[in-house]
Amino acid sequence: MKRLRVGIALVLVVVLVAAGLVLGAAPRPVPWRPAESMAIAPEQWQLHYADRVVDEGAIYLEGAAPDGSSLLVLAEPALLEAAHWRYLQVSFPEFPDTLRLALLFRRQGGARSALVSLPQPDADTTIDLGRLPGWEGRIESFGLAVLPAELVPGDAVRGRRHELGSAALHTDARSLAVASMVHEWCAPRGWSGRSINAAGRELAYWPIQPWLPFLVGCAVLTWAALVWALRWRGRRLYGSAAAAALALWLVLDLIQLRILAHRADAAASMLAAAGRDRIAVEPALSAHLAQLRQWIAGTHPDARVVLLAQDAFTRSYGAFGLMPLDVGAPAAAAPGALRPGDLVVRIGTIGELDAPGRRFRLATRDYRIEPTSAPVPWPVFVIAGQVP
Amino acid sequence: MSVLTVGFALAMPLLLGAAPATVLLRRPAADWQWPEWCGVAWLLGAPILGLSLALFARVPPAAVFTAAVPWLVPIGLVAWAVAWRFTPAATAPARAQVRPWQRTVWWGMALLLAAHWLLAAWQAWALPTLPWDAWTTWIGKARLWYGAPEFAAWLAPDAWLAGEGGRATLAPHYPDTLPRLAVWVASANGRWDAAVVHLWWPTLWLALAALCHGGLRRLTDVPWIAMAGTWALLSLPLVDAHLALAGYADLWVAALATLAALALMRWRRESDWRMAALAGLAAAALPAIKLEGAVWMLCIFAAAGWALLPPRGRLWVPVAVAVAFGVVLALGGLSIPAPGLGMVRVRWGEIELPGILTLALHWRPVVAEVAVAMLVLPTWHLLWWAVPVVALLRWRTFANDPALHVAAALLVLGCGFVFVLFFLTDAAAWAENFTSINRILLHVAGPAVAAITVALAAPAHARTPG
Repeated sequence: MKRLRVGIALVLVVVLVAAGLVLGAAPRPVPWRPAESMAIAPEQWQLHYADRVVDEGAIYLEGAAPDGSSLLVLAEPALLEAAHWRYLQVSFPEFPDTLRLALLFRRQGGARSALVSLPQPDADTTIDLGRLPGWEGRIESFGLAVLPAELVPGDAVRGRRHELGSAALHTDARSLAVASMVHEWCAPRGWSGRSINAAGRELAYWPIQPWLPFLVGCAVLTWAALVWALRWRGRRLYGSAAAAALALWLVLDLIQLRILAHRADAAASMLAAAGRDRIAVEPALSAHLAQLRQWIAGTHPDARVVLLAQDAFTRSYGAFGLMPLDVGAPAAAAPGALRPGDLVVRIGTIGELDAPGRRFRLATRDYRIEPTSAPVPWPVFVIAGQVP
Repeated sequence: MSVLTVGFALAMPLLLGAAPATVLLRRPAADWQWPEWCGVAWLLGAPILGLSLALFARVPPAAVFTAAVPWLVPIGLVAWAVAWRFTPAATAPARAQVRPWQRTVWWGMALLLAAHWLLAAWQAWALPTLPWDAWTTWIGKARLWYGAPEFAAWLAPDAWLAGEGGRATLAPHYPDTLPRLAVWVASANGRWDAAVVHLWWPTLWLALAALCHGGLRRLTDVPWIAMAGTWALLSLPLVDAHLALAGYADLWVAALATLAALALMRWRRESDWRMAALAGLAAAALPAIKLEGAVWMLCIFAAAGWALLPPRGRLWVPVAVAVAFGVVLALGGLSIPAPGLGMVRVRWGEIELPGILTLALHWRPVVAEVAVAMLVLPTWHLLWWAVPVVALLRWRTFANDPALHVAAALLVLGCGFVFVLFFLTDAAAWAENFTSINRILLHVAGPAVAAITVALAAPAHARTPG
């Protein structure tokens, strides 16, 4: 009798969990027929900034762009109906940690292409395109971008060879919905700027799925079924509840450890590819800042360095990159605040610089300036004095 | 880099905190008490070291290690020796009966924790300084100081541009303890290396693990439950993030708040003044780490004060204080001294932090965002699901155990702070974008884990006293 009750309880749990997963993954009418598919074989990609290399029967991509990126565009693109093609499956075997994959698409009539970072691709990564902002109407351009991973300078991965993967577009199907949701929960992903606040989940493109409440619901369901089947009371009731919570915590922790291990692997790959001094939040900006720091230390060691930039990121990161020089990055300068001898680094379009580069206007004041030969792509000049 | 000098620099807090740890915890009497003693000593010693370095303000920051060691080492050694000589050993605890499955669980969780530490600490070492506030504040200040001829004063960029001297930073009002610690270890290394500076965070994690396990073991008497609580706290994804992406002050605040909470709980359970003093020391160190630490310090002192009230007063005194507070606000407001913040002016609908900002108080509808941050995103595992469930299931334990009284008071005050900050001020924007909300919750995660671990262990505690 006891075995029968346990059996009934577990069957009930499995059925309810499966139903919850299927309905939770696609809470909308989905036709009960197999998905229609459009496969994109490795040889069907039109490559930009990359070479196709065939070696021992396998097709490889070798990036050629100076910034380490390459584009894989669907050749001869027919107009894709966004509502029809709901899922994308990508398979890039042994994709390097130093690269990342992004989805690139443009709507018919759209002003610009959308670029959406994908989780690190492994075997059969499934993406729910329907949840992406902008995936609507007719898609006239569709492809994948292979980019240097966050923190990795482009030249460190330029020429890197990796197996060219395949992709497939699918129509709506519950099995794909479940696959995409599970992948989204468990896929390894790198650190992002948000990680210090929200443990690494990039929320800009991927709306939140209530996966944790779902897992809690599963655990509660299983526990309740076992309590009913085994007639647990008193200490066993509490003990089993604690054990269920601990088990679920363990599952979450193992997922977290898998992600953490992937991140550690990625860090090791980055170190090997680029070296400790070159991996940075913005590798290109960081490299320029390092060059500029050395140049200033050699030519204007005692100058006050005023970094002018519009956005808070460039001000903060730029100032950090120029430390330990005496650097400041004010959000707005008061009229007349710049002094003779100040070395100004102007990133972006803040203030007005005249064409010959002899005058600079900031906060209603004009300054006479002396251009420098700083080895960076931004104007760097010395304040010579104020124009009366 | 000199491995020896860097190791010595990172271990220096242990030496400086050894005397207070010995006096307050007594000399360890069992093997498992040594890691706890080390953790507590290190965590007390770190702010002591940071504050002590302020005495060497005229020394070139790059040389502060060689200038300070001849002073700090003898002082630390003598204080430790005196404390050790005149403090009796703790009473040896009864040996806990451990079943084979409990031993297996203990080791399993220890291995999981080791995996977390290894994977995240390696990244702290390998990755550059990634998080934003680390550039602008915690590591940025240290980087500027390290290259300067002296420990310059800090100015906001506008004031710096106006030519008032000093160095520019976005957070001139923030405490300098962590930047000084960063300069200290860089000075020991002989050159600036972010990887070496980041090593403070893996070391802090170890101290937190040690003190958390020791404190929970003393409170529960069950080794595997103590390890489960430690694992629950240190397996949180946000803890991993703060270890791997070293450079923020929040894990430090969380560690000190955890130490204070565990000490408060032991103080109420054992009526030992040493534990009250330990909690007081940990709380007093909080404002030296981060401005928000001043609020947590007030919460800890308020929880301790509440716990001292007679049972009847525990209801009426808070109500009376709340009513009086409301009346004072209605009559024009009041000023409250807060270490690190100055006199905080509270008026109806407004809190003014002098020279920093003024917060307008009114309701912000961010319930859904806060719920998502706590219960849906993969940031907290099951922590914020577990706290209310355990509180409900174990309400009798919470009602009867004096250790849990004070823990509950601390959590209620902490939640009150979170509520006021994110539901009533413009900080609501940081809940909407899931930023500061999680970091503030990290501060109170340790006390929350301690409370639910002790509450869940209560029957076992009753069975195996000692």
